[in-house]
Amino acid sequence: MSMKKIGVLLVSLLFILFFSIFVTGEVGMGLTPPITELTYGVDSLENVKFTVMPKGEDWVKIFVTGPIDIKDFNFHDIENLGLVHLEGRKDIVFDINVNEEELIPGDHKIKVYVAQTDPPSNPDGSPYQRPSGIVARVAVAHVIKLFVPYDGHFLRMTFDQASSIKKGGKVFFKLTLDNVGKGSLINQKVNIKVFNNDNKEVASLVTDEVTVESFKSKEVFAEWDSKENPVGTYTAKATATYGDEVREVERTFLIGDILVEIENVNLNTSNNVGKITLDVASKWNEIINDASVQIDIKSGNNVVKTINSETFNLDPWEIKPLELFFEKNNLQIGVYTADINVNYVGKTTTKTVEFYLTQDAVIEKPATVFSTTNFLLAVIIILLVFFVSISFMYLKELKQKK
Amino acid sequence: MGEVNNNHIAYMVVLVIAVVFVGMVFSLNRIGEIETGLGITGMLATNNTGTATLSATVASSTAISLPVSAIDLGSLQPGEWNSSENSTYTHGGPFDTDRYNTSNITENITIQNDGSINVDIEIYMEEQVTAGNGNFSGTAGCITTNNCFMIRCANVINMNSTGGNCTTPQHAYIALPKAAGTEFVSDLNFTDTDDEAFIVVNVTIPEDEHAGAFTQTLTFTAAAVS
Repeated sequence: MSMKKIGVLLVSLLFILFFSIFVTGEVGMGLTPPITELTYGVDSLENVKFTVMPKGEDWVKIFVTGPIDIKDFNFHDIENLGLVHLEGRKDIVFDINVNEEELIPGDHKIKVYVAQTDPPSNPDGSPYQRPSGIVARVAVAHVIKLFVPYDGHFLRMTFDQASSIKKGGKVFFKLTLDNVGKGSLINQKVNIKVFNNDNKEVASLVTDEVTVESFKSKEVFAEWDSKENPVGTYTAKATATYGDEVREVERTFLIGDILVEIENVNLNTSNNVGKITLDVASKWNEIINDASVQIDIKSGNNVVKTINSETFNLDPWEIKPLELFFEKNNLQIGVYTADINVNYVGKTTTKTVEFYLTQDAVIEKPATVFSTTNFLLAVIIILLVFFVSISFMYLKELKQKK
Repeated sequence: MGEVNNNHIAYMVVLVIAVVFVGMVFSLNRIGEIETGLGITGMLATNNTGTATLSATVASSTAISLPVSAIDLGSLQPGEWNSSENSTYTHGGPFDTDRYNTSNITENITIQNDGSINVDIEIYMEEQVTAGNGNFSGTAGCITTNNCFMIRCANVINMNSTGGNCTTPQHAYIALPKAAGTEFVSDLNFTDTDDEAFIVVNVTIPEDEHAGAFTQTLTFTAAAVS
């Protein structure tokens, strides 16, 4: 390597590149509408239009990605797709010249990009020189969703409705059958199976048969009497079979009741104040307005303190955590019961917990085997065993005497 | 001057009354002409209220801008690198794709969804010979491994909830794509509180990069979620 080359290399290495991304002009652009949906053979592929909205004057280039090549596009009144001058909003109009044989049936997504590019010259007419470094630019893409129909019949099925109901009510099912093929769907029916929370089938239904012409839609319906099925989440699975094809869709629904349950009750202290936390769980399919919680703290049968929450609403099947506080210092140390009542739409759900109030803490009284009932049962069992034993010994003695 | 008797006074009174009467008739006729000609009445003749209905449909739009589009990576000598993240990022592993953080971002490019529909964001640089080369003219170092220009989605406002998401795996560094089509941000929301995504870069200068100016164009693309 000659000294000259080494010198050049050293100069190159010492050269400090100042590296920054910067902007020239407005960096922003929009277009409307964002999406055009077309069905081949149904919608015209000519004069498809969207409008570009630059921020002031701009230069852009247009290109396309997707299953259709840009040569199949005919853009109106644009000579050079690589350099389009925008002086304000501009309509981009084009035809898509594609044969059906060139596209496989189904959904296709094509994007027509409009990207900022270098202007051909500066405003004063001098040649444009791109600044060194990195230039940040934006592009917007108009999305074309093109559906190419299938040769025979082709079913698309959507589960529109599986109504949530009150316990014992009837569930209404509604499905839409879209025939996006060129042939008719004759005598098409849909089987619906209903599964409970444990994924156990609890009902099987069949809709009426319908004929769906090409590119037409039909709705089918079914009704299920839930009878004695309990409150909970259910899933309806719908299956439509035609030829060798199967379409399956499902939808969940709820069997509910105007019921609010009390869950996860905990007692402790917060800043030396008694604290009761609980969850109130709605089991109803609609909003429950103006619910409230009242807690009666009892010593024996006497209510020594009552705590009331503010009123609240419960969304369908909402589980709402609540915190309620009480002044524990003016209660004597001992055992108390707390009757927790949730009041809603004229109904009340009650849960009772026992707790110890100590000097420093509020502790839930654990469930014990030494309850009065259990004690009586134990006494009865012991007495029975005692009498059986006595009887057995007496009989044995009689036998020996004989 | 002769004596004025009662008869004279009576004639004069009758004359005055006649003049006043003629004047009144004349004036009333003129007023009628003005009313007929100009239609000015001075009062509202009827109490009818007209109503008009204005209706308009606002079309949705795809639009983006770059409120923050400048990242200063400082002075870099050939062979050096820098990223728009803090020093917790260490350059050393192959491509460093799994070495990133979502905090300590010192600089970023901010993309804002200005439209009225959720969008996916793609990023690319056309001038590159190969993705990740960054259009540098050098041939040594990072050029051979195509990791001169790495880019990733660092964050989205309210990511994973209302804002949208960094697209996997573009939440970690990848070589800067050469063409449109690689999504870095998915489902970027358009409501004002959730409409920004943040992009960070990691750039290495080839070891034999020629001295002189170079130009690169980083393009950020928005396409409606469909």
